[in-house]
Amino acid sequence: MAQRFRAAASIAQAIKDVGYPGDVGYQSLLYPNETDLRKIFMFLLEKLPKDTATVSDEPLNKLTLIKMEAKRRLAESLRQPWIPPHCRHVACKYATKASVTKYGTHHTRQFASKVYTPVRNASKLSPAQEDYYKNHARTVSDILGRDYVITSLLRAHALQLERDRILPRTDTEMENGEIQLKPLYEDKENVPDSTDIMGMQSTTLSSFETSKQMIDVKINEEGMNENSGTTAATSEEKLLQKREEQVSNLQSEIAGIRDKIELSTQGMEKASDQLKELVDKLAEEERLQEEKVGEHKMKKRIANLVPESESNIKRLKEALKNSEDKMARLKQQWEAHKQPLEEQLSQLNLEVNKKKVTKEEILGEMTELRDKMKAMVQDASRKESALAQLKNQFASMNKDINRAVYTKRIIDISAKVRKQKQEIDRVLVDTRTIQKEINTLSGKLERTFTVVEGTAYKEAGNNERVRQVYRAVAAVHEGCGELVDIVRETGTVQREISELKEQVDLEKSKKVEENLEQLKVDLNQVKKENASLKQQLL
Amino acid sequence: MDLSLEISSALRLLGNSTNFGQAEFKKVLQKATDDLINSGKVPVTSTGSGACDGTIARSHAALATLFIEAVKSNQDGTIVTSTLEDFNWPAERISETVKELDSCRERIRSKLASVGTYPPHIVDVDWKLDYHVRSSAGEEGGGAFYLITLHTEESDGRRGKVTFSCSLAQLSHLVTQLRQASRCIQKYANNS
Repeated sequence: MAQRFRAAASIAQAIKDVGYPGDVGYQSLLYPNETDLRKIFMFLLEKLPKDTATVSDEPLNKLTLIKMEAKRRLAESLRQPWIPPHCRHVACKYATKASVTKYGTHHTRQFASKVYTPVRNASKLSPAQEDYYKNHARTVSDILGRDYVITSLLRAHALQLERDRILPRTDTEMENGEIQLKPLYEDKENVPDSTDIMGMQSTTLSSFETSKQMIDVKINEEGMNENSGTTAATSEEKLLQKREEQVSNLQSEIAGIRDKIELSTQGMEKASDQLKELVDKLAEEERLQEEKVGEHKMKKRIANLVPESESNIKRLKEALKNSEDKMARLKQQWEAHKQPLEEQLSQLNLEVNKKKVTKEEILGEMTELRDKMKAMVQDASRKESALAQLKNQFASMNKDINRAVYTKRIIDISAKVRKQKQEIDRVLVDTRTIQKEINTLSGKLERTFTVVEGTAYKEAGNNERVRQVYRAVAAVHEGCGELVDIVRETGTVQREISELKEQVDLEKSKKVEENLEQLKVDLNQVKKENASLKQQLL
Repeated sequence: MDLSLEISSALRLLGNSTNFGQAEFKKVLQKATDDLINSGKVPVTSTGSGACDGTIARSHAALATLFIEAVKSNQDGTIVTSTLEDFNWPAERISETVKELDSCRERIRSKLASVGTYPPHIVDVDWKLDYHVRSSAGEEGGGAFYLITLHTEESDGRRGKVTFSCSLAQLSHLVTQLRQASRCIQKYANNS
């Protein structure tokens, strides 16, 4: 029983969480009411996912594929049960996949590799090496131990791939064991013969050595030395000596030539400095000379003019005045010429500005029109898509339902409702008129009664009969008044009765009695279960 | 598949029926698979199958490298078949090799997957509740402190320890952050 209660409470909580607007509790599920339950069910059914399958039309490029794969792996590893760490290596042994998430990092090893270079071909080996190759070679796992086989092979293969990339050779050259190195320098002088063809000896020794080999001029020398090592020993020594002598001679020559070069470069520098200084001096001297020449000329002319000083002075003054007049005249002309041109210039500037303004306006209009165009195009496209959609919907809608039946029913129902409304209005109007009549009549009654009372009271003093009449009229008025009140009260009471009847029906529909019975039974059961649990605890 | 010249030439030799008899080929194949799938716990007998011919050693290494590369790039039998056909292998040898490869693919893969460097991860926690009665930091200097030791597991089965001390607030902060991280991962995993 308690479990049922708890389950109902959790479901009710879930319904509330989903967003049911009304009030829902465990009672609406355990002791349900029809209308409420129907409302809850309708709400939940609406919340169910729609039938249309979600088609994922994402582009299946590599990134999304990788992401999907990552999500899948993550979800899978999240679903793993937790294994305590001291049990994980046991599980690892019986599994085929060593995943880090399942088994922890107990089984992981770092990439520790040992150097392994495989034995190359056997065509150019010395006899000792050949013997090793034939009889004593061991496989990788024997050399390195099984722990390191995988990592060492991976490393060795990567190194080989690198070497192939740097120094591409074909298979046939590999098998022959010789490679044709292109000479590192193009000119044919000073090319010793032995450096063109390099033997494979330097690489066959790799089974005994463990050094990486990169192509270098040094290897040329090594090859040379190696080569010389394999031919006869005595002639090789002589060659060595001769070569050493040559080398020392050449080196001393080189030293002498270098010294000479240094000396001559120094001398050259000094000479160029001197040259620069001299050139500068020369330029200065020439400048001074020009100045002096100009001064001399002027002094000479003045000296010529001095003897006839008076006339010369007058002449000079006239000349000065003439030139001044000329200047004034030229100025005027210039002004006269300048003005119209300036006016023209200002006019043209104005026109240019106006044109700029109009141009900007036109540009603005153009952009506006373009925007309007875009908006209209978008509108049109939207409407077209809406049209297509609606057409599809219309085509997919079921056409063989008879719409006329539904429309007829709807029209009938609305007509009925209208008629009912009219009747209700009529009844209301009637009620109001009756009420008004009642009011007027009661008002009239009161007034006539007061008038009659007044007149009767006046006449009562004289006539005995009038007194009787007065008393009878008063009594009748009272009685009728009471009757009227009672009638009104019965009316209100009847209305109350009908309202209460409605409420009773409503409550009946809620079946409260039955639910109460059920609740009592359940409560007893819960009490029993509690007692039994208590006993178990004790 | 990208194989170096050395490996290619060795495999060519291996596939050449005139140089390599069928029995020898089977021996080399068997040895290669055994070496690749056996765990390192088996003691290495250096004398046992020790000395052999240099060509056998070369081809054994080449075959082992072929297997490793095939499993590494997760290629199925068809690519391996085409590569071996390029080296002029007879068809039955190709089919045998591919069969052996498929049979031990998972184990080679698990061995490859166990190679790697991983950061240490936490497997156990010890805690001790400490109380600072007083300290020079004034009113807020006291209070309860937790001394936490996190046991971590690193690669190759080693265990490490991370110790620190923190207040309750900091500890709960750490725990909420861990929960947030796990929720983040769950959301990402379930988002597809």
